[in-house]
Amino acid sequence: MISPSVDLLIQFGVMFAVGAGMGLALMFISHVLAPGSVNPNKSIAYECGVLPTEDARKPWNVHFYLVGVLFVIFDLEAVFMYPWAVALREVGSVALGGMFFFIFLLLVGFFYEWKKGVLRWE
Amino acid sequence: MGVADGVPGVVPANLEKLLGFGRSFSFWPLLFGLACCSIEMMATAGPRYDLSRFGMEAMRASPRQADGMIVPGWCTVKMAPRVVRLYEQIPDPKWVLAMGSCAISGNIWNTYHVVQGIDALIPVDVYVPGCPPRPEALWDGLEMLRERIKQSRHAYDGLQRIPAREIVGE
Amino acid sequence: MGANGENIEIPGAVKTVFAKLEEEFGERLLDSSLFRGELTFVIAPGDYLDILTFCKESEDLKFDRLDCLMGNHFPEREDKPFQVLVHLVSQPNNTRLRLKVLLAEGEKLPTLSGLWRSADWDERETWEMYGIEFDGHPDLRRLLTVSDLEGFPLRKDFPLEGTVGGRVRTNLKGKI
Repeated sequence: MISPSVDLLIQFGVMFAVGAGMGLALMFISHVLAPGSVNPNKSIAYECGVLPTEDARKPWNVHFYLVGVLFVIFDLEAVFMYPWAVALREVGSVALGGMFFFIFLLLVGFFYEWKKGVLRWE
Repeated sequence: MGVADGVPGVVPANLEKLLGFGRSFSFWPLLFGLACCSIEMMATAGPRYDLSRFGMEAMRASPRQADGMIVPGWCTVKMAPRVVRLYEQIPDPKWVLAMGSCAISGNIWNTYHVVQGIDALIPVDVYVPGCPPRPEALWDGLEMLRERIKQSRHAYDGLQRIPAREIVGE
Repeated sequence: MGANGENIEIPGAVKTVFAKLEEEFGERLLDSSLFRGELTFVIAPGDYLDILTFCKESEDLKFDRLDCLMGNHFPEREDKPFQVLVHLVSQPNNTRLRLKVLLAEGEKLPTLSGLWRSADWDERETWEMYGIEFDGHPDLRRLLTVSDLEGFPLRKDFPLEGTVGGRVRTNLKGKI
């Protein structure tokens, strides 16, 4: 019992060490115990038994990026709503008005993307 | 446990027994079906003769996640290099079960396009004859395979070349 | 007449096909037969492309689909041992037609891949199994067998038992 914050730090350190140590130990044990052999086919990519014809790194449709960005924004909006929902009863109507205003701002953005056609996959 | 019997490793015998015991209960074969015997293999995986009792219902589509291969059906010359490549891509330790007469010896297809038994290409641990073998016969073969896994006995070791590479001379 | 002598109704569409082809080609149809409603004509290799083009493009016949094209080998027929069989289907009229061409050793036929695209692969398979070549084919190479196979497997004089390459029956060098 040195002091509360240092205690917490020690506890966190122990947890981190045990977690990392366990992961490393498991990897080390399986590396030592498992048999292994080397052959040229083990190092190439798997493509149902034939040699791979091309790389998987190639240009992808940019629409995937747009959908991903929109997901992040609306997901974070949902994340903000969780603590608000829990604390709403104590705080009262001020919080209600504030959240409605927040949702209204994001709704403007939602209408913009809708009209711009981002939701329609070509 | 000599070099000829198993894959060389640094594991003491008791630990090897424990590992073999564990491996025998979750042998995940590669999802690999060549011809009619695969229907019987699928029937063995069905509800009546359940492969899930042995932990084998998880037939992996990727060889990286598999523990071995069940080879049902004849292997044509066009498929032969692919069988070898898939076998080599499975990480050790691995076991092979040749199911059906075509995988054992080519059966009636003694022709220009069928490999006369996959043990001309890859080392085989258990042979299950039949055309096709009934699910009970395959079950018997899988029991034999699980015994071999429990004892950590292999048909090959990592230092020798598989028959296909012997033939090619690499 | 059916096989047992009873009267089998010949569908009107088959009669139309027979009549139209007789009218257009007459002498050039070497033989014809009707068996259980299936019409077969034997034609000469020289008239092959004309007759098939007419079958596809004529307004009355409209054979818009080539069901399959395959070869065959009869070594007991010494002058013309090979033959090519063409099955045509008319989807608007719901009829089928079979055309046979008898070929000598080494005789070639014009390709049908300009008329029906599915003839492309059918002709590749016929070539690799029998050795019957098709003039004007865009890409005549092996379809089903391995690229280093010598010989034409479905010919009757190709050995039935495998004799080449030991148990593996092919050379795996460079492939694994």
